[in-house]
Parts: sequence; C-alpha cells; structure tokens
Amino acid sequence: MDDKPPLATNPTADTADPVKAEQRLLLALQAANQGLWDWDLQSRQGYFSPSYYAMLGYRPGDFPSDFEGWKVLVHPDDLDTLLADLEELADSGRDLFEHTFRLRHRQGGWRRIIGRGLVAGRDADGRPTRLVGISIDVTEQTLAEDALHESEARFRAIFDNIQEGILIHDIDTGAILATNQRACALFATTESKLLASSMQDLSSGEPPYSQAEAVYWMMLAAAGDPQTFEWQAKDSTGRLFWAEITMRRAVLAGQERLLAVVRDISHRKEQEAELRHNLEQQVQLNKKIEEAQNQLLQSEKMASIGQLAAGVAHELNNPIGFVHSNVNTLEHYLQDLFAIVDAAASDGEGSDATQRLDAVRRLIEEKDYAFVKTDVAELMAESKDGLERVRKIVQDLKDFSRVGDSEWQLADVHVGIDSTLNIVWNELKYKCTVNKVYGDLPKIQCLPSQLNQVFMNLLVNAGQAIKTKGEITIRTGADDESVWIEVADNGSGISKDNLKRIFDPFFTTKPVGKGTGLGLSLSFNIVHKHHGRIDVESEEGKGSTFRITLPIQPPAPALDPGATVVAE
Amino acid sequence: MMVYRVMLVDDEEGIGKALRRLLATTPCVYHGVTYQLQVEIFTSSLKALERARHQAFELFLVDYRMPEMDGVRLLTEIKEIQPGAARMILSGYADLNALVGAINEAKIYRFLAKPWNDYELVSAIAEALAYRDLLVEGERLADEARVAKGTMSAEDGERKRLEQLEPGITQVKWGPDGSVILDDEFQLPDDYA
Ligand SMILES: Nc1ncnc2c1ncn2[C@@H]1O[C@H](COP(=O)(O)OP(=O)(O)O)[C@@H](O)[C@H]1O
Ligand SMILES: [Mg+2]
Repeated sequence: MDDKPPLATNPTADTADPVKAEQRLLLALQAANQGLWDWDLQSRQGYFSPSYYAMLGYRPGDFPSDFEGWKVLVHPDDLDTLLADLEELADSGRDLFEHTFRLRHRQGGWRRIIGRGLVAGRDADGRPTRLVGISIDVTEQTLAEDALHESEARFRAIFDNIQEGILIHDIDTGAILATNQRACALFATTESKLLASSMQDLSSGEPPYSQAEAVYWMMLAAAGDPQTFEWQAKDSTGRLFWAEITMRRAVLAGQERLLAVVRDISHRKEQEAELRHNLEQQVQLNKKIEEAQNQLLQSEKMASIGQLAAGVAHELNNPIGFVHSNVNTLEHYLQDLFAIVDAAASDGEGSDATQRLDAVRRLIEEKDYAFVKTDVAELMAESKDGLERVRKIVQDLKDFSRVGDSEWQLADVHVGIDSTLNIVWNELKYKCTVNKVYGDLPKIQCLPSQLNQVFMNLLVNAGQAIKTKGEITIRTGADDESVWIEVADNGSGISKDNLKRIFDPFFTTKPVGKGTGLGLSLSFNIVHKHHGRIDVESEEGKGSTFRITLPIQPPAPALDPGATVVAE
Repeated sequence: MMVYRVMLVDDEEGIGKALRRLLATTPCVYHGVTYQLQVEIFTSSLKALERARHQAFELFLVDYRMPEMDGVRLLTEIKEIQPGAARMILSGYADLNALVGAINEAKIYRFLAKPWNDYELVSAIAEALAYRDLLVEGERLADEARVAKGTMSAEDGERKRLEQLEPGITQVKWGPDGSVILDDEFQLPDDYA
C-alpha cells in the first residue's frame, strides 16, 4: 500500500487532532448560522457556541450562559411547551428530540428556531441531566414557506370563488383530476363525487350534447387548439342547464392537462330565448301591420276605383252598346245578302235565267244592296274600333288594379303615369284638359303598381278640385339621383288650416262616397317606402301643385324582419 | 202617313250610327201600328239644343254624360221648347243624382241603359211615340172643346198648333237687358216640306 497518497494530504483524515476538529466544527456552524449548545440540567448552566450568539445578534458572552439568562430570550408563548417537552423526555426515555420555538433577536423581533438535541446523560431516575444539540435559525425559511402557503391559499380562494367552474382533466383519459367549489355548486354535488364523474354524467346526453361530442371537443383542445362552445349540461339532480365551456391545454405542475372552464349561461340563454320570442312576435306584428296596410291599400284602391266607376262604366258600356247593336244589324244585312244569293242560285222549276236575274235585281233594289255594301264596311270598322277600346280599357284596369304585384323592379315612370291617366281620363275628360310636360327620365327602382296608386290619387284629387272647367298639368324631370313628378291643377286650392292635415288618414273635405280621406295618407306611405318625398304648394282659389321626388336607386330596402338573413 | 222625327244625341259617334242603323233596319211597331221614323244624330248637346229650337221632334233620345251639357239639362231645356215631345235617356252609367234629375226635372218617359237590347229599345221608342200621340190627341180634343166652350180663343188654339210645328215661332224672347233675342239664323231645315 506504499503507492497510496499520504493520509496527511486528506483533510478529512485529520480527525485525530481534536483542536483542529473543534475549530472546523465551529467554522461550519458559523457558516450555516447554527448555534451549538450544551445544557447541564442539574446546575442549570449551559454552553453556547459563538455562532449561537451570532445567530441572535450578540457577541459571545453577551448574555449569561445559564438557564435564567437564556429563558428571558424565549418567546413567552413557547416557554411552556418547551418545558413540557423536557418533561416528556424524562417520561418517554426518548433521547433525540426536536423543538420549534421563538427566540428574541438582539435587534428586537423573534427568530424562529429549530432546536435538535440529544439527551447526553440521565440520573438514576432516568431524568435527563445533560442535553446537547444545535439550534437552527429557520426564520427566513419559515417566512418563505408562510408566504407560499398564503399565496396558495389565496389562489385556492380565487379558484374556489370565481364565477366559473373549473375542471382539470387528464389529457389522455379525460378523467377529472381537480375541480373548484364553483364547479361543485354548478353541478350540485361534492368535490369527491365530481371527481368521480364522467363527461356523460355532466351532459344532457342529448346529441349534440353527449359523450361523443364532448370527446370530440376535448380532442380538439388536447391538440392545442383552445375551444369555446355552448353545452347543455346536467347537474346531479338531473336539472339541465346551459353552459359555455372553454377548453384548453395547460401545463400544470409539469403535467399536460386539459383545463375546462364552465360558465353558467342559463340566464343568457333565457334572455336569448326571450329576445327570439320578442323578435318573432315583432315579425308577426309587422306582418299583421303590413297586411292591414295592404288591406287599406286595397280598399282605398277599390274606393278610388269606385270613384272612377262612373267614368269606366260609361266608357265600357258605350262601345259594348254600339258593337252589340251593330252585330244585330249585321245579322240583318246578312239575311238580306243571303236572300239575294239564294235567289241567284235557286234552280226552282219553271224559272229560267232571265227570270232569276230579274228576281235578283228586284231583291238587290229592294234590300238596297248598294247601301248595305258601304254600310257593312263602316259598321265593321266602327265595331272593331269599339272592341279595341273595350280591350284597352279592360287592360288598363288590369294593369292598374294589380295589387299583389309588389315586386321591386326597374320601371318607366311615364308608362305608369300614362296607364293611370287612361283610367282616370274617363273621369277627367268632361271637365279638364290634361297637359303633359314630360322630361327625360331614367327608369327607377320602384314598386310600379304602388306608384300608379299615388299618381291616381293625385290625378283624382286634381280632377275633384276642379268644379266645371280646368287644367291639369303633369310635369316630370330628373337629376343625377332622383326623378320628380308634378301634378298641378287650377282648381279649388287648399286652405292653410287644411294643408296641415291633408296627409292625415281619414281627413277629407269631400262628401261620403266621393272621398275616403285615405288617398294622400297612403300616397305618403308609398312615397316614404320609396325613400322619396311629397311636397305641396297650394293657394285657395288658384290651385294646387303636388310634387313627388323619388330616388332613382333607393337605398337597399331596410331589413325586412320577415326576410331571412343569411349570416356569413 | 205620318213621319216621326227622332233626335239622337250622344257624344259617342258610334252610338248614334249604330242606333241609326238599328232604326233603319228594325220596324218600329207598337200595338200593330208601325211608326215611320226620320232620325237625326248629334254628337254635341249644344248643337242638338240649337236644332231643337228650330225643328219639332216627336222624340228625343239622349245620352246622360256629355261634355258640354249633360242629358238631364239638355232634356230640361228641350222640355221648355218642345213640351209635347217624348223624352228618353240612354246612359252607360247613372248615379242617383242623374236618375232623380232625369225624373224630376227632365220628366223623362224612359231611362234606358247601355248596352241596350235592340228589341227593347225599338219597342220603347214605339211605345213612347204611341204615348206621345195619345197625349197630343188628348190635348187637341181638349183644346177643341175649350174653343167650342169659348174658354180658349181660336188664335190660341192655332198658336199652339203652330208652336208644335215650329218651336218658338209664336214667341218673342226677351233678353235680360230687355232686348229681343233673335235666332242667329232663321232657316228651315233641309228636309222641311
Ligand atoms: N289637388 C287638390 N286640390 C284641393 N284639395 C285637395 C287636393 N288634393 C287633396 N286635397 C284635399 O286633401 C284632402 C285629402 O285628400 P285625400 O287624402 O286624397 O282624401 P280624399 O280625396 O278621399 O278626400 C281632400 O279631401 C282635399 O280637401
Ligand atoms: Mg283623394
């Protein structure tokens, strides 16, 4: 073993030198901020190492190393347990002990000390006579631990008290590893029961709120893609409630977990349902209002057609009357003609050619063939003309009375005015001349049949404002964005008082049967629907001018609540 | 044989023409009596009224709705001029006002609707003429009796007879300012025999 390095070079081997050993121990104690002590319980004298004094902020010997001197440094609350522990050492015969207590530091304040010691001698009764040990200042450590505890408690409190229920799942099995109190409350259960629940237990179970879907969401979240979704959940009593769940992957204490945050949204759902219900009612109501308005429109249309009935009937019955009568006459003429042809073609016995010719000539004379010939041509021409007029009036009526036709379309306003004028003309022609001063109009996006209704109201009103003889002038024009139509009459005019009320529904100055008071109010609505406006100028005794201005392209029709909105 | 003068007034030309054809081709008969008709057509009620001032007609058949003067007013005026003539209205449409006016003011014999039934229309004309004849005959007999009884002078009787042949001939019209209104042209109708 000569080739081994000499032992002297190894400091640990130097244990034989007691001075060096003691020095080393004291240095180590100082470095570790630990104090060494040695109590002789019988003499109540002790020994405190310099590091002991240092630990409490003193120089060696600053306080007497007897029990009385030391006792004053002990926290009064800890002294009794300290003494009780000593007593216990005697009874139990235990040799090793550990004790935590507080000692006063020289600068004030308490240090938390752990004393670890050994019973180094006992008397005949087994009572300890000597205790040796070291004391460690664990104040800083304890403070740090306390802070940790405190912060943990704080987090726990937050964890338990936030409005969201939290479930921490095993990322692989989906098992619930931890929950907070709110989650227990949400599911009306205890923590232990909740930890034992599966997703199936917590869901309504009705697709799409069943285990399969839950697993699907968890899978997505586990893949690192946080998910937020609404869920129909079930508590332990079987009550279903709506929850919004946010699921994300999280690393907790070094472990991959799925963190599910559950928020009760029953209230929101209720509100949503209520909102939906209200909306539905609103839609229903709107529909009803629209229906009522359509009905009003229809009845006003009928009423105004009623006002026009005299004119229209007269206009229809005239041509029907004479065409009908002409057809009868034609039949008469035909009988005459047949008689002549029959006479020419007859080969009755004893009638030779000359006799037949005579008979034919006589008939031609008698039936006034020459007249019939020219008159048939005239009769046909007049009758065709009459029938054409009937056809046109019927067409005009049809064009005009199409109420159901409520499609927005590009239409020529002049065509509308003219077809309306055709109907109203029958009423107007006996007392008015109508001047048309048309400008160049682009087609406009509109509801043509409804605009016709407006034109008719204005024209009928103008006609009715004229007692016996007057003029109506229709002017039109356009600028870049809008067209305007003016209906002017030189009739009665409107008084200042009435001018404020003419657009009120049922306001009329006309006798029953002539006026409904709805014409202008409905016209106003129709023009409003077109995003246009009506202006009136009127002077009593001089006449009135109604001017409608309509956008060529009205802004997209306001969202009709009845319409389906396709959300992106 | 007596020829009955009939005046047709309708602003619609086709109506007049059709009626003329009808009356030319269809015999106008009532209770076995055939009425020979001579028809005049007017499309203007003012012109028609003017004509009625100069020419006696046995029957007036007029439209109700006409631009210058409606049928009730026209017949009311005509009634003043030729009270003995039969008056009828032929109309495509009539509201209550028209009917009330026609009956109370123009005192018409018949109100006919367009479109008409040819047979009914011709019968109505024949009937009206027969009724008119009856009234005229009754009046004539009454006048004869009056003259015989001395309650009417022979001149008055003659004036009445003349008035029926040439309306207005025996009357001088006074204008509102007291002047004498003369017919703007005094001429016999073309077919005045
Ligand atoms: N062109 C006009 N001239 C004079 N008054 C008019 C004119 N247009 C409308 N009015 C007045 O406005 C009122 C309301 O008109 P309207 O709503 O069309 O109802 P109605 O014509 O049925 O009475 C009329 O009764 C009339 O007094
Ligand atoms: Mg009106």
